[in-house]
Amino acid sequence: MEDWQSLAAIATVVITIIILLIKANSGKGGGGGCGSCGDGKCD
Amino acid sequence: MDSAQETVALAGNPNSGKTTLFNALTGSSAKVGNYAGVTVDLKRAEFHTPHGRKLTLLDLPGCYGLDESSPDQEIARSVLNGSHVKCPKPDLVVSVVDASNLERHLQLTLQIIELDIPVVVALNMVDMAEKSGLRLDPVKLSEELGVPVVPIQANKGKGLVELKQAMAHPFPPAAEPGWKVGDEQERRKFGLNVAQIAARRPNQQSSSVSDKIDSIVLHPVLGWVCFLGIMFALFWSIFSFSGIPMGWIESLQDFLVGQVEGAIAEGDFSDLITHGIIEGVGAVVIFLPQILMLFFFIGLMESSGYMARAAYLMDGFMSKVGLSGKAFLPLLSSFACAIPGVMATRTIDSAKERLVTIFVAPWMSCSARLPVYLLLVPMLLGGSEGGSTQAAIFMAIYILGTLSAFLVARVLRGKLGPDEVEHHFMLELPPYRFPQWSYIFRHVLDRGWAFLKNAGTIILAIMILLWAASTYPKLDSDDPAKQLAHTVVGRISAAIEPIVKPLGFDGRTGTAILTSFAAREVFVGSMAQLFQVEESEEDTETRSRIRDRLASETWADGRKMFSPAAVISLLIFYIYALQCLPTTAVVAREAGSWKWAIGQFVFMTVFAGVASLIAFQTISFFTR
Repeated sequence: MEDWQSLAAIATVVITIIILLIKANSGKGGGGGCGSCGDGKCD
Repeated sequence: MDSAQETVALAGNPNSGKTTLFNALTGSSAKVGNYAGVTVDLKRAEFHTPHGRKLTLLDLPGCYGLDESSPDQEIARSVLNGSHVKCPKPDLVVSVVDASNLERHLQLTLQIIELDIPVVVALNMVDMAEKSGLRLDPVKLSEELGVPVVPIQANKGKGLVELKQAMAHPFPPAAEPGWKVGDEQERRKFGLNVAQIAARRPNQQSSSVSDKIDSIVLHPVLGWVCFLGIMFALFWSIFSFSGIPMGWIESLQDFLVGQVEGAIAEGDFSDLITHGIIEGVGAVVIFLPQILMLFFFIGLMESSGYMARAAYLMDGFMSKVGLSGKAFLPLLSSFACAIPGVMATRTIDSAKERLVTIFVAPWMSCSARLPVYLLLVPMLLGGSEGGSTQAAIFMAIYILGTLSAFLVARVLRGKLGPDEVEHHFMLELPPYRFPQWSYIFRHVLDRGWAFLKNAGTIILAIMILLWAASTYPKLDSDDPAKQLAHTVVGRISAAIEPIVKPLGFDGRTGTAILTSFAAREVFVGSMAQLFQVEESEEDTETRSRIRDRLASETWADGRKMFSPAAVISLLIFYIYALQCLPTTAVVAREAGSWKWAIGQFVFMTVFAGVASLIAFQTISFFTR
């Protein structure tokens, strides 16, 4: 029981890192501090 | 039939209602406001005439004439001249004029007519003009100008069909100017004459409702009392009316945790979902009601016309620090978010003033700081939720950020030296209008959605990574403190604690600050995660709000960790630190220099650290 949970948690973390790397490479990364603005001008 | 799609440009003075008309014609939702300078960039969308012909519509930034020099007005001028690199000369210009201000607004229309382009005049806000006692004669106006004139009310969608018909093919021919082309004196005289013929005011002496309100809100003393009163009411409402919806979000969070704990046995994955994701993201999302309320009030002030009065009130104050009133509106926008604020500096003619305004804009407390303030301010009051005291502290926070920005602006302005050319600031005070509720609610929903999207993407990602960093590598021990010390976060905390301790923070708070350099709101989620891992048994009862957990934290010697000195130090750090990567990127683009953006980031971070240090050490010294 413990094993699958550790595996699932690590897989989630790895997927998150991959998504962040892909977004950073596509130039759309860089944090979301501006997110509250909603003006849609961040891009 | 033309094969190429024709282009229609909307041009007009600032605050003549171009963007409202643009939205009404195309179904777009570009930002509008009852003050000048809302549109600083070129917007484009498509729409159909009543005969089904597709046209491209351009919304140009507002300008008073075609001989001005600020970056936004340069865009309008180059498009109309046909010299814009990305945009062909428009086939037709719809000149949007405010019917109440024909004398001034017609001057731009006449300049456009001089360019030999077909023109249609959209006589906007005719209801307001007639209410103020003006008698309009659109037929006479059309005869005098030699172009079609269509009375409209863009905000209510009235007259749009007639306007679209006036844009039907073939376009009206370019008008013959009735004055000597290029002669400014003659053009001005012609415009004033036409305005007098087309808009008569039988009872010129009676003052309008707007004038009566302005005699109070623009009064040198009463005006400031009103301004501070409105700000206080805003913050008080944010605290007083959001308790119930916050309770709903908290209940939803508890429900979700309960469901996950019921479905998945105890283990890493269950811990990631409950403590990492639901509680971390939930700690930020819980402030959604306050964010919505802040934007509701901002929308109300923009839509009613009060924002322009606030700018007028500040103009004298701004000139003392070397900035003109033109810098005030970008600074005001920065209270919502620094990014549109930095972009709005395009309305500033002086390059030096623009750079200074960009530099200080992030010190206006943006809405991303709101969750951090909302977490910390009640801790200063020892759990008491007194709305008016909290509102007063909030005002003090906003005033501190603003005054500091002005002070730095003054120093920088002195260093950069005076402008080669003198620039003048002309601010339009629009008549007060009933708020456009549909716009306000759409604006509030857009901002709320953006806040949630941020929580569901970047904050979620950081929470997952932070959970991993505060869980691995694992240590086989029953002592949660020892477990945490063994993890990546534990090691980072231990490494940075000597640096942040003089500021009043322990290593975990220091780590939470580090995580919030990607986005300020992350701090709240990080604190929720990092200050709960020590609890060995977690159930619904012990999962009290993060604020209570922080209040009970102590140092090894038993002293309260979040003493008033430490909380004030944290607040000061968040007022001054520039923790927003997108802002830095936009500053680099708008200032045309990464050096300026990086300099700003380093200056603000160092300033925040030093100010926190001084605040913590001074308060600790006197309260020892």
